Amino acid sequence: MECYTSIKKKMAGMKSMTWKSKSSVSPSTNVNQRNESSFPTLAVGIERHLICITGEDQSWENYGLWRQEQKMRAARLEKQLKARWALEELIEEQLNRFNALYNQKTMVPTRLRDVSQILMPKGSPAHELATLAWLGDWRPSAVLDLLRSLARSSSSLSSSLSDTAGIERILNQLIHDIRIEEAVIDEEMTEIQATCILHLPFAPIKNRLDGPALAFVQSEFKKIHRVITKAQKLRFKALQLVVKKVLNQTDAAEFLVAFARIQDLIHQFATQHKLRKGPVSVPVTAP
Amino acid sequence: MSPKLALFGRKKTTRAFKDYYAQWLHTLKATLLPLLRRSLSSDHHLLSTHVESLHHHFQSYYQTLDAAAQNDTVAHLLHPTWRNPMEAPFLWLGDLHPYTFTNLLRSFLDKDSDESSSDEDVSCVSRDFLDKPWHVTTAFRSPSKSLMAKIDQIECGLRLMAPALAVRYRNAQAGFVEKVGAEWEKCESGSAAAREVVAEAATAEMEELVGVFVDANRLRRSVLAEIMGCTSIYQAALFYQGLAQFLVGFWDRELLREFERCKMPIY
Repeated sequence: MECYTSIKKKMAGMKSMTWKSKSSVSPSTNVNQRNESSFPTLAVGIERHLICITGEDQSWENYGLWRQEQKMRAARLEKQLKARWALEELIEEQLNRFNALYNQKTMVPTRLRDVSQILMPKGSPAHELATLAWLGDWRPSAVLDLLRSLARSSSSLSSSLSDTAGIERILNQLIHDIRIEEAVIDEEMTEIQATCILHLPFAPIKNRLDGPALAFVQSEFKKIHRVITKAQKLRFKALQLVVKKVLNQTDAAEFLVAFARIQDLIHQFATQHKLRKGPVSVPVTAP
Repeated sequence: MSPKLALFGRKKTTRAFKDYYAQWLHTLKATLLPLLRRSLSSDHHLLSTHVESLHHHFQSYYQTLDAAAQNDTVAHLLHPTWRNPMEAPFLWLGDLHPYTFTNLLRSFLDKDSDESSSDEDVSCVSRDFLDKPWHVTTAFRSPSKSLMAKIDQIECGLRLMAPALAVRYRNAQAGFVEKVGAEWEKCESGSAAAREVVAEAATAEMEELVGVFVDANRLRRSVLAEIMGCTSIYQAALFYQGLAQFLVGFWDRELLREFERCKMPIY
């Protein structure tokens, strides 16, 4: 009986070896053909041992069970693989949607007034903009800040991140870099805001260039539009970094789910706040 | 008194900020700016009073903004829907960037140094400016060293303080997402607990933003006060006339109508 137990253990080891070889190679390769051909030899060896100890019937029964189990495991593996591909497609789709959203906002020719609309979208209540927006939508560095915070606290995210300290280090660096890029764009926007008093048609000291008043407004709005385009690109870059570079597939999916839900909750909070509190008011005594 | 009568008899104690701003701008456009223009062109003895009135008008506007800034309202003040779409993109933390004031002041100085080098080039000079008496048109010619030093000093302060405010805004937003992220797993998403987490984090952020907004107004107010303090009465009059003209200009009906119809240039 002791002998039988040890052989069963050996067999279990061989099973796992066979699993590994089958799952790691493509069915069309020569390597796999070698594995396929070596498999009967291995099975026959096991079979012989079993015959010696427990008799023919029991050994065939065990082997049959083993084959059955192998089929089930292969089916499960295949299902998981398909799920992984499906997940990858969904992540890609989600990312493309963000890209389309940001591009649609910036690339489609718009009216001048739409530039204002991008910066202060009608669909986003003031509290939503104040909590997370930078030039009209998610602040790029805040996307990374959110991931860092989720990774620190979420057991599912941090447990599957193989090296939590390493990820934190990478995120700190990325946040630092993205913040620099944000500051550069902020500078450009500030320059436009600070000098518009020199360029707009109702500027006290007229510009040397002459032309219709609207042309001066158009020219300033064109500059702002360029800055917004840069901001949108940076926003997408931050999201892409999180999903493609920092996280593995499962974590990326988990992050995107949390990201969407948090945004939705903020939107709900801001909408309810707007309905409950109404417009800003001041005392009537104010001049 | 019956409750119905009490309701009608109660005096209204607040008004919408939108209405306050419309009234403030109307006073600027219809009363203060014409008075200042008149005293700049002929009636000089009241110039000082009218400059003071304009200065006070701006100061009281920023004080009212401060008084209105509460946790509940600061988000609206930072994204004011009462400013029109032609004006809104040029606003920084809810109002004019303080650099706007120093740039306006410098534009008078630059213009005058240009004129001294080429007096015949008048195409760039506003007609308004040319119609004024000599001591008004020459108000900025050969500015004193102390004025130049003071402008440099104001700009130096702004270079430090304006970006610091932008960083505080950014950090407040980072704090918000960090709080939400830290509590996210503890609450089932979509549940009341998750809503509570978002509301609490947002309230904490709004407190910080009130500070940022009030400090931005303090900066705007102090730049105006410093300009008022370092300029002559004619210089201050021209400065405030320019500033008022600029704000009123955003509401030019004809231009706004054209703006609404105008397409973005394709480039």
